[in-house]
Amino acid sequence: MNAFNRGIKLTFLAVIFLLNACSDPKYNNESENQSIKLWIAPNEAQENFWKTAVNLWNESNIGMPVNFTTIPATGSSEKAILTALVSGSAPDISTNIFSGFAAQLANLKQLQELSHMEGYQQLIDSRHMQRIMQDWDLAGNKYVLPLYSNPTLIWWRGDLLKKLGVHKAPETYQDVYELSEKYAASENKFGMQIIAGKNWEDRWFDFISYYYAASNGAPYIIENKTSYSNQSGRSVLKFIDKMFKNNWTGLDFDSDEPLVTGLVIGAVRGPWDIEYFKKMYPETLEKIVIGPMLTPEAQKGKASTFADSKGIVIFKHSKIKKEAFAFISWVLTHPKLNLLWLQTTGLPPARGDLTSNPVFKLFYEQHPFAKKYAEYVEVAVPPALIENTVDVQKVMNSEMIEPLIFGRKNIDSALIDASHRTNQLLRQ
Amino acid sequence: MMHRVIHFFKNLKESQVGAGLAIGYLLFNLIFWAYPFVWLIILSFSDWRFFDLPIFSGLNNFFIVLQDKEFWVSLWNVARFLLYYIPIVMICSLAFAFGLQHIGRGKVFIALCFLLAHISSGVAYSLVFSKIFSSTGPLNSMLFDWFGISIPWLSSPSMAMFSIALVVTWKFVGYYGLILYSGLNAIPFEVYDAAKLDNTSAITRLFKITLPLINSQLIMVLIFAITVAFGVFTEPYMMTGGGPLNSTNMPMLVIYETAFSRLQPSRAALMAMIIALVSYALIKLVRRLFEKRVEIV
Amino acid sequence: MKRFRGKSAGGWAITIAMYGLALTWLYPYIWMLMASLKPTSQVFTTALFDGSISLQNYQFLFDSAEKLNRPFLGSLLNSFFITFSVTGLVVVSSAYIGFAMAKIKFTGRKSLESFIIFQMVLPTMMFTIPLFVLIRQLGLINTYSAMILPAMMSAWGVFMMSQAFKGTPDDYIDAAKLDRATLRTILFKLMMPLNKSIVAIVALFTFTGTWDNFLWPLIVVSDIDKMPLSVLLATFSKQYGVYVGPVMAGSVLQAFPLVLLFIIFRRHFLQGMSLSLK
Repeated sequence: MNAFNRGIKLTFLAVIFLLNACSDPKYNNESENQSIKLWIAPNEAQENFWKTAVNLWNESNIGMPVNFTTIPATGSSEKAILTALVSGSAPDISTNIFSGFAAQLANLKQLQELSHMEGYQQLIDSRHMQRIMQDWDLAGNKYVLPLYSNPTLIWWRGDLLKKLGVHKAPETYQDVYELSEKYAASENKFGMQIIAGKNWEDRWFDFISYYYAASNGAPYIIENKTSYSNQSGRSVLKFIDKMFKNNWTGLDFDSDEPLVTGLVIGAVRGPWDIEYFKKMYPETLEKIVIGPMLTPEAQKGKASTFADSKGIVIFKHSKIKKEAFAFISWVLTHPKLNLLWLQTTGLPPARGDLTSNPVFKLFYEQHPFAKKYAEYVEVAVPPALIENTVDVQKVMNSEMIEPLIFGRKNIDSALIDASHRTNQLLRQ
Repeated sequence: MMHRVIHFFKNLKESQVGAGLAIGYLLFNLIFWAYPFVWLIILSFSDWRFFDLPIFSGLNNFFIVLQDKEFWVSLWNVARFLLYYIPIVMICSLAFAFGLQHIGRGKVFIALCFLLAHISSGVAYSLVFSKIFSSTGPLNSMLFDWFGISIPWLSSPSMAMFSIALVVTWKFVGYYGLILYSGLNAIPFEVYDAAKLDNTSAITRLFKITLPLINSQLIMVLIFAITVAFGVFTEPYMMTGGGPLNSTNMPMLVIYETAFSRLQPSRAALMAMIIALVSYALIKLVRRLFEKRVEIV
Repeated sequence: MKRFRGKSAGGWAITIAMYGLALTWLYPYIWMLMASLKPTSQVFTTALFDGSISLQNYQFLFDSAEKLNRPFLGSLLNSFFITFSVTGLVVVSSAYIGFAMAKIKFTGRKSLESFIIFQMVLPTMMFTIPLFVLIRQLGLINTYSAMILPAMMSAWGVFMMSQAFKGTPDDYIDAAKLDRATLRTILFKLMMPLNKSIVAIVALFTFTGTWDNFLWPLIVVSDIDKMPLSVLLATFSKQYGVYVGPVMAGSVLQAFPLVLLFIIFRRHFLQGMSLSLK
């Protein structure tokens, strides 16, 4: 037995030795507390914006210097932020927070309530965000300041519309039916792309977008229960169903950009696609006409739509919240930086005065596509501010949209099943 | 000192050396495996959402996971995956191993081609295959040109799992095939010569001689295939997102999403434990049913 | 081998079929390589070997790396250091323990074997968070050891080695023992050379797995000077996902060292399988 003990000791010593040999004594970096750590969305355009903004801030010595990096995300940026929070290596501020993740983090007490921070009211007033902030209210608290608000609109190939004798972007389901019937008559063509993709977040760009348009921006979740099982929900599903039954739309467009190849005439696209097309498919972009989200019947005024909106938060663990908020206020209220944001990213800043503020006037005169999106910011509704975003949208997928597409359920049972299952999950 | 240590080891009994090595291994696993594992068990019985301390919640997680349709569908999907994957990968690997035996020149080149698939980066090849399989991708345009058909590889609920099994097969055939090949090479020629004298048919030789003689390699491959089935993640994550109609939703996807999107790591821990137990039981069963100890002299 | 020399028609058919399959197996690689050389807009619209071929995507990759202060060279060295350490440790530890399990009788051997199989089938993903807590408790955050230590022994490696060693006749070992060979000699001079193929497989696949792993380094290391290449490239792929060309260029870069290493060491890797190299 003695031999055993010695064996154990030796192995143990070897492990300890290795532990010591490999560990780095200076991993402790307390001196870093002298600057505000900021994480930004991993996206080239946004990175360029923050580089300028942060440089300007640091050079002018208004407050504590800021140090920024992109969110070190390999999968989703939410995952990266979460891991960093768990490990204590999270920054003081992060951008790129969507509603569902904000709700989760707020419930887990990881976010700083902002409406009582010094200078909050001035910030809101200067950006005319009073109405916008109503969509970001969580039990009377505000944890996120939305940075941008991307309405979803429909892009149409103007040249193809003209060929079919249509001179205005379609606005109702009926318009699309007529169009699709003509266009899909030719071999291997579809009317429009409706289903945006396979993941839960794609439901923002199909069902939820259409639902907002059909219901005039009514919420799809009220007080932890679904509210889309109604006439509006039914008409959206009827539209999807009819398009699929007639083979006027397809499921899988992911190998090509279908608008470029002319596989479809129309598809839901966001303002980020303007820059993308400009870079990749400039010839196609010239032919694009932007129209509103489709509605069941012709409508007076602008049709509501979905807003892909992301915001900035301060984490609760931060020891320099005041300084951090000062920096955020400075960036968000700086007129030149607001313009710069628009110029570098093309995404509409989340503010209520986009079309009236003279700062943006020249830009929008020169960028008609961006202007179109700016016009819809006021009727664009962000997703429900709930913790269970993933579940809610996965159920939309698995109980409603997909069974409908594959002909396994009729419209009513799809709606009822999805609603039932969602409520079951939300109760847990 | 060194001399004494060596001397000390020389005088150890063999069984003591064996046990010592085993203890070294166990010690390592005590730190880097058992400690996290205990945590995992604690988590299964508690409510923990990354921050704060875990709060004991009894069987609450069990009830929630029991009702989680998605999780059970994903477990059923493992069975469906195995149904496609095991026969395809077994036959392909065997064919590869036999084929390799029959090749004189260029053996290395061929083995390299197949093994390259195994060492490629998961994210990269999933991306490549999702493009290859898409409705207008190269595979379908070829099929359309030749036969006038196009196959919904990834967009039909009944095909998607099969396509994923094909991709996973693509990755593993070289690896499994070489394991089997090393087994085949170890079979002495005399065994076949004797069989040939007895005028046995090729099929009989295969089932009566070859396969039993590479039993240990076959079991090894089978076990690996089962572990792969329970651990599939990157391919469905990148190619189908678990759809359509949840037909390619695998346990790892559900666990990942439960932990990192729903922020319910304790439920995910319980799911991981259930998956672990099921796969372990299955492997035990396979070994009990098919494993033989064949001593080759 | 000799009995296959005189080839029949069937033999030729098999040879041709194998070559055909081998090329089919390479297709995704070729596609990736070609996509990395084309502008993104042409990736899906041109035939495999058509389109304008250039190194633009690689330029884009390195330019952005430069601009965003991403030390590609440093991360490459990090990757090599981490990967070689892990591979070396895994091979040696697996050989010792695998030998004990295959050829030494001791109490508890059966249970150890079950334990190892249990470990192999357990989804490792769930260990991420608890393992992280442990690394934090050991004070190893932001160190190379955080990436090396938890991976230095592998249940899979032990299993592979022990399965292979089981096939080696006991007579060899007994003979060596008669020559008063030590355990180390038996392992390094007898068992490992006899089972070269498995040693090579364990080494190569450990190398690949470590090289490709990015989730764990991402979690335990935030210091850019210690980041492995995989993390830098994965963040890059995420960031420029819509630009298929550069992402494919990144994938090629990530795969390149593996392919190169594989080709360099193919002799050692395949010799063990008694392949005749010409």
